[in-house]
Amino acid sequence: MTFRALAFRNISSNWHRYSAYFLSCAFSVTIFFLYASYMYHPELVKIQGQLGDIGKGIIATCSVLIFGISFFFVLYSSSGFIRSRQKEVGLFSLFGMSKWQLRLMFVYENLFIAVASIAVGIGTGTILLKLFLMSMSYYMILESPLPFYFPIDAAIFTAVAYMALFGLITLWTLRKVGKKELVELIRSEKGNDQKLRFSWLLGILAIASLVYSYYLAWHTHWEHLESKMLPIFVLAIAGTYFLYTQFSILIVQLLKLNRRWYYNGTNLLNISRAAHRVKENARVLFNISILVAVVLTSSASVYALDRSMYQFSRASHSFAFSMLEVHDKPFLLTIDQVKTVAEQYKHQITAVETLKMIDAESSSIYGYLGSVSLIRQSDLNRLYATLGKQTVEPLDEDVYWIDQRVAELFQVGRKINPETIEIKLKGLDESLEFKIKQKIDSTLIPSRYAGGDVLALPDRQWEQLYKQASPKLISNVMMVDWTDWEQSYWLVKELERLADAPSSYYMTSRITDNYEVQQTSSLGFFIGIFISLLFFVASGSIIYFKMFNDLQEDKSYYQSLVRIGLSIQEIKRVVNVQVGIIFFLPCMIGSLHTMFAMKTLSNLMNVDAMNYGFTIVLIFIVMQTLYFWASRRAYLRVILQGITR
Amino acid sequence: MTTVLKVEQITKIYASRGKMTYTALNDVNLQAEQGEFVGIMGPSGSGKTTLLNILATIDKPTAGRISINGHNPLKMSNNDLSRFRRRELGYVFQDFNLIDSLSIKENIILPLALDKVSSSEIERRVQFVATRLGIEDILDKRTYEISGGQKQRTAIARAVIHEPSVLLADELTGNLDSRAAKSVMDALEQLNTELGTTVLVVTHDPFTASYCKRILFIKDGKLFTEIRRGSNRPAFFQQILDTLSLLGGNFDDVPSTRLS
Repeated sequence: MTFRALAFRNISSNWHRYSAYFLSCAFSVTIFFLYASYMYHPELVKIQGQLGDIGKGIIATCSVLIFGISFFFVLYSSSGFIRSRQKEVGLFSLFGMSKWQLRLMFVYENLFIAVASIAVGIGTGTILLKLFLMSMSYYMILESPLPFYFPIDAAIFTAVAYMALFGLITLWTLRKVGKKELVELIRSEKGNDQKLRFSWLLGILAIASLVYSYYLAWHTHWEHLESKMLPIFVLAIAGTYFLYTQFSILIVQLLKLNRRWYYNGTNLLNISRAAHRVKENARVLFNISILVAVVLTSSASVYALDRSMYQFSRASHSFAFSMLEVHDKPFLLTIDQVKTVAEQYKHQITAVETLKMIDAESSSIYGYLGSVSLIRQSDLNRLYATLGKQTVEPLDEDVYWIDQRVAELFQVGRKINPETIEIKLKGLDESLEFKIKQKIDSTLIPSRYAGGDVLALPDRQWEQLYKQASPKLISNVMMVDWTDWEQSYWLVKELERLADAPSSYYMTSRITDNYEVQQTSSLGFFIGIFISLLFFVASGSIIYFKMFNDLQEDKSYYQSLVRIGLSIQEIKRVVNVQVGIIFFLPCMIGSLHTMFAMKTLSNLMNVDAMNYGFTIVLIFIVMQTLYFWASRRAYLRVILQGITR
Repeated sequence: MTTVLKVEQITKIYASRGKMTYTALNDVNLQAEQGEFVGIMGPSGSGKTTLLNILATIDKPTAGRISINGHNPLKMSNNDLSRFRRRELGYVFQDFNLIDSLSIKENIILPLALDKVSSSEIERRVQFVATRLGIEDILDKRTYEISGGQKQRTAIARAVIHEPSVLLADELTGNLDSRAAKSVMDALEQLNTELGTTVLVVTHDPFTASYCKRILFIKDGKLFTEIRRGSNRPAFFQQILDTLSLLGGNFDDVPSTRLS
């Protein structure tokens, strides 16, 4: 067997150990490559150019984050991998392999893994790229889908960066090889049981900093975002760390004190196992918790942003398409023209409504003179019936106040809540006062047409005003609904072309109004997805490494237990608890962090982000549970294999 | 006297993947009374470990009957078997099989904890066996802090704390130097006489075997002969050596000391 063959044999016969390392490297390369080719894409480079300073800053930060994390992640995997092989190294040198031969072996191995994972990573990335660009184009509603290209720049960049990284890791490994005493290497796994004491000071500090960071997060608004960001992060991370390191000791000690419970069945095994190498376990749990928190926070923010963008565009236009008519300017298109074009584009018109408005002024709502649009209560009910909403009771004297700003993004509902409202019409001297029967929080008329808020007057009063008001104050809105409004961008463009009035004030639609917001937000959207994916893979691999690095030790542990008379069922129970802790404890802590981060997000935007956060947490728990079942199965299979029966 | 252990016409045939078969045990009969101290000796490959594994219910014979304290382990389901092992058998291994994450005391009480015995009863029993075995001072230590002899005495304590019908020991002095081996065997002998625990020891070390009251020799899977001890242990030791030379075969397989 030549030396190279030995190195190669090492990999092929120890595949299950190498495979985890290899796969996480390949994963990391894939993500890195996708991100690089995404950022280098000529079309997107253009879009990035249009962003403001803040946008560019966010993108730069995210790039550094993604690059840094994927590098750090490979470093982490490799160090875990090398630790698990200490004994092997010890044995090789015991059999007379020289330091340089050992190093050469590592160079061969790392070279093989590096080349293979870069190739596999870029290959997978290329396949995914097409899918990725397609979904991108769909989401951003680009005129033509982003053309597929093989990003040579990105590929070279990825390959060079990772080769350099693997080179560094190899050097770092070589430095370690042959430094330790042989005896240490061979008995590497034993006798490293740390005796730790619970420190009240650190324990209280952990709780205090966690609670305080939660408190800060709960009360953060735009004004003090910058000053509070850093303390929240630092306190939350430090708090989590000490929570694990201190309270794992405390809980273990407390449980041990309760003899009756501790000496009962498998509790003895679970607790002693948790106490064993408690420091190392606490660190792993801490790492996973933080990763989980990042995954959940970024994906929940993305989800919340996307959903609220959708809701916002839904709420801001109760109908898909609207046109305005004022006294000297008729509708740009007739309803028949709209119908014909809509049918060409395969959208069915489902509703057409017209609405007369009187433009009035009032200072009761804003505190200063602002405009309000007056409509008939019967019109309001007609529209509500069309929209499928609950109709309101027609009144004789009082009015309904439709507050059109509540549903808007980045707006906090107004604080002034008057009982009565005083309105004035231009050209008329006397002002009118109405009692407000009820405030309705929704947008009825596209906000650019209804100058500000909308008042629904009793029909009789409205007719009276209508007769008095000058024609300049009267406007007419036509609102049209059609099927599949999400896909109607091109239809609206065609209508604008037909009316020969691109981006006209007199024509508006749900889809075009939010088009630009959606395009810029999509960049953040995809970066968020990248970060979530990357951290999800990272946390998964850390769990995997943790489980399978300890596997050899665990095997003999369970073997001893079976000889003492532990049944297979009891073994399964013990494994459930021990593997379950790794999976679900960080999941819980990370979710808690996320919920508070979502509260901050809710404060920043006028959005119920906590609800979305909750959905994401639930999805994550489901995924984590699936992953738990799969890993538990694989783990149990190896454990049970080792048990002679 | 009651018969605790009864093995009748046990045969074990290993079939390898081809059509090769190998008879490890051939028609072996064995019986042990309550409180007996029985040894099993034989050259390597004679089938003594196979026999012990079958008695320990971690292996099944191809044919034959076993009765341990009136139970037939061959007819038990996996779960019953685990419980049976936990209650009726004590097992001491050459490599101690102590669990590193548990303290010495926790190692000893493990079978009781698994059986959900009350904690006061556990405390009482652990003090009792630990004193008998001379390990009461190291109960709070960890496994890597104690010597080989202490480890094996801990393993014995764990094997007898639930008062099993039979204590099975596989080369229990194989990893120990002669002084530690003596301390372990003295402790085992004391347990046997004071508590009346039935002990079955598999060994190829004549010194260890000399503690037994009765020794069975097996060769090529069959019972070869049986000798009984008089009052004098040195004389019995000589008798063992004589039988071994008569038996022939390779006895040099004392395992090398392990590094850990």
